[in-house]
Amino acid sequence: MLPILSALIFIPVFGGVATLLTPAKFAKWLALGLSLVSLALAGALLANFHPAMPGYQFTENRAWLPALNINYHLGIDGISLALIALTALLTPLCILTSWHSVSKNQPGFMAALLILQGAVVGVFSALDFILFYVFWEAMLIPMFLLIGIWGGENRVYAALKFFLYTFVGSVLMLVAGLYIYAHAHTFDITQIPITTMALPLLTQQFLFWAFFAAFAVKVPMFPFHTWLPDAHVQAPTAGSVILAGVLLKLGTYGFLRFSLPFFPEAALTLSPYIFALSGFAVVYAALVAYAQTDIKKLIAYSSVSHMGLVTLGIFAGTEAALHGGLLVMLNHGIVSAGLFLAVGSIYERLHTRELKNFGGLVVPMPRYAFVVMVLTLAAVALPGTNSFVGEFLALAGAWPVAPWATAAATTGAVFGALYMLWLYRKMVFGTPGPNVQKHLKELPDIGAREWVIFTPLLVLIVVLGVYPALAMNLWAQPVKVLSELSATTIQKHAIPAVAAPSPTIVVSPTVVVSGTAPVSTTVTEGHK
Amino acid sequence: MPADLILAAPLCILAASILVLLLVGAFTNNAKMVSGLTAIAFVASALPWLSHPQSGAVFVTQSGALLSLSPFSILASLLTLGVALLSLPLASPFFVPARAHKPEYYVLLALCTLGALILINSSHFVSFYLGLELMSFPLYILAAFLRKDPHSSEAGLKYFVLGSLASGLMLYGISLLYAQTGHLGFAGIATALAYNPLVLVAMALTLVGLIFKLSTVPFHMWTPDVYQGSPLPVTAVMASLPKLAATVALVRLLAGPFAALATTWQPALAVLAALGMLAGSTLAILQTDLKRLLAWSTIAQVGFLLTGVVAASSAGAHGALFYVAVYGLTMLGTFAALLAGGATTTTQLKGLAQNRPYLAIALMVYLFSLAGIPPLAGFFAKFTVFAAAVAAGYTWLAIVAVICSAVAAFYSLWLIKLMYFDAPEHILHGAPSKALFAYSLLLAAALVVLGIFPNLIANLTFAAATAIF
Repeated sequence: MLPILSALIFIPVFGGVATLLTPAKFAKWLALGLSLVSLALAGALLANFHPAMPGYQFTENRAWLPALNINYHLGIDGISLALIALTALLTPLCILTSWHSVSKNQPGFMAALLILQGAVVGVFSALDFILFYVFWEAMLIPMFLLIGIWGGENRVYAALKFFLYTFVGSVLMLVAGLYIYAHAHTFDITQIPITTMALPLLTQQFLFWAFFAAFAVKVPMFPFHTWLPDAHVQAPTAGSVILAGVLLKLGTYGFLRFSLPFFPEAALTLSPYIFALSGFAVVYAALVAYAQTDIKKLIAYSSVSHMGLVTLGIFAGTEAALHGGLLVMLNHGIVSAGLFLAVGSIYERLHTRELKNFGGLVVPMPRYAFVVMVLTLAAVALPGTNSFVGEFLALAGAWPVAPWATAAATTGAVFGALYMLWLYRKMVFGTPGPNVQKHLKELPDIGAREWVIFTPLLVLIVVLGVYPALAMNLWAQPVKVLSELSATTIQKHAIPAVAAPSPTIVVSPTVVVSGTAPVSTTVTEGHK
Repeated sequence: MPADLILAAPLCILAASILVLLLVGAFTNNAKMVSGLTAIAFVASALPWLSHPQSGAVFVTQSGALLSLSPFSILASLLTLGVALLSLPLASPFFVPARAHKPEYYVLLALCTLGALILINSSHFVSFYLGLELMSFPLYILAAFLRKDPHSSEAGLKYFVLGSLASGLMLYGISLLYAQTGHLGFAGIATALAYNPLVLVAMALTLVGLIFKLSTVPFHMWTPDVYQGSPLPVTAVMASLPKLAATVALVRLLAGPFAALATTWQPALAVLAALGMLAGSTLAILQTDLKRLLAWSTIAQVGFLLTGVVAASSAGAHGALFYVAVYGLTMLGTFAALLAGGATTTTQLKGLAQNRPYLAIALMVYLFSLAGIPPLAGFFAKFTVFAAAVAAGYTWLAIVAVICSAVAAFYSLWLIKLMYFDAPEHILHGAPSKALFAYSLLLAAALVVLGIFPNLIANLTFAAATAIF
């Protein structure tokens, strides 16, 4: 088997270094070519992936630091594959959108983007905790430079805040990983659960919080989200796209890959707090988004709101909720990336993101108005667009587990419609704003380059809206495993309570919670 | 005796070379030639260890062997020679413009290295003290090498006075140990040592000398002043060579004569390490002079490497050695880059990325490595010591350490911000020294390679550190 995953990681990394040394005129072409190679490789992964096969595929395993039992261990399941494909799709779009808009040290910019891509793919495919951590942290360097060098006015503050927030969270995770290693003597992600699940509940909970610190900052969950609006507003368009499209998925990916399988019991016992945070985040971030006047900030807060929905679904643990959470992740990656690209397009023309300067864009730019409309409708989860399926599944799946948080999150979806439609009205309809008025005659509509950028996203919005199974089949296997794990944990946890005098009261919610099918499968597995 | 000489051949070669260097320097007064000869001397003394690394006791007296070569001490000696060799190219670009490029610099550096080697391999308090002083005295003189510069003289004097005080305290501790056990050899003390309050005092005082050299809290106060006042190449040496030797000596001392008291010194050292990390990381942020900043950073870094020593395990010893080796490389590279960039204060770094893009990349690598960001060598250095501390049950220390490393990341980021995000205040004219330029790029590349393939050093340090504790 060819090492496709290694190629997907290191072609962009070394290509990035090569881009840095290329003259400015050719750098962007080289970067585009390399990102298309990555896209083709991701396509090869998709074509050769067997969704029904359990475990990890395309694995590579070599000793890296034998003294500490650290291995270069790669492999993907459906969850990682979907996110890798998303990364590979968004990178060429980022390069295209920066074609003219980035003028300062363009080779450096392209290099940072490519290296970032390589590191992100590494995070999604690492099966060794330390390898994961290396990619996880390495990612910070290019992102820090992207925001700090090519960002807006307040870029220094945003870059430092971004770096330090995520760094503090990550180092706590590192200590937790070392603690696990002291007991398990391995960093292998597939082996660690055997040890961690045997640890006392209190230890599990401490470790859970340590991992939580790293992932919650990245998601970002309320109240660790304050770096996101700053980073988004100050980042260049491509940075925002990568940030919203890919980097925000790392936190929730971490929950799925580490928190749930490693500490199922801790996750179960602590999930009420997470439900509360998630439900609150959905509503709060939606309301804050409504109050924004900067378009990018608005979309940034809408991201916080959407990610709240994802964490709600993930920690609910039912099959439907997990499917929903993953779909929201993927869809948010497509839709918010599209929105940021749209904002980038208009910023390139008018050099403002203040909402009050816009209005009436439909007159000079009807095609642009159409693109933004599709993206807006997808963002408000209109049935027929991809987001609808995800949000519905997440909410429906979480309802039996966390009714209050789900109820709150559902109202959040209503607020979501409110601010997105309001944004659309202010931007596209109405009387032309001062800036639009000034340039009314010479405001060019979407050209060929921008059609290339937006078309794949629009197509995906519709395709995944009509036929979501395309994505769901990919990750059905790991989702089933996770939901079964959650069901067995609930059962295990309920046993002491069952011994109490009134078993019926305790048992009935368990059955409702886990759904009948998963419970029966786990029971038979237990008998094997 | 001949067997002893064969085992100790590297030390003898270096000692003999120093005499030659002194004569050549005195007769020709040609610093450039002496510099080349010093490099040859370092390589020549490393050769026996490289080709036939052989452990064993050397110069056995009635009270135990003076030196005892082990795989650990031999590897540490080789690393010391490597660091000494790598520090040579820094001298001429600094001293030639200052009109102070003299052969004595190299002779003193070689003497200091010889002292470090004796200290590392010592297994007897006589050779231990001798090595420590032989390492320290040339450094006192080197700190004051720019005779006409009052800052340099001040640095030398300060270093000398405080260093002598620390040595005195240590000597007192050694004498108390002798009074309690009747031994000066490490092996003898280890067997005769019994827990009593006076022994604890003796141990504490004995460790003072090394703690001073390592600039650990509470004997760190000299570091910022001496770092700032000393000529830059000397500061670079101070930040790398004695740190390496003192770390190894500390490990050998704690794993040898004081091994029985591990439960006593572990918590004490853990507190010192934690204080050092806290003080160093926070105070480095406030500095505007780059050498002072790096001094505070050193204080923090030593705290990090001590977390490995605290573990009192082979893994910890391995981590500490790996850490201090990587740290030495990083420091040499950083100082070289600062010298090449002509920056002494933080504001002078502004816009370096536009003036000298490649130099800025090198400096960025060093700073990210100091902050412990993967995939650079500094990450694995931190990782190994933290892992050892957690495995030894010092999880709280590891948590303090990672939080401090996040605080310490701030000043690294701040310097990178100055280089990359800010516009230059003035355009730098003239080409920097090409050699220095290549040197700092090469060391930066080494840190990247070591970060991706930590095995290159970690395998050696790990093999050498087995059965230390």
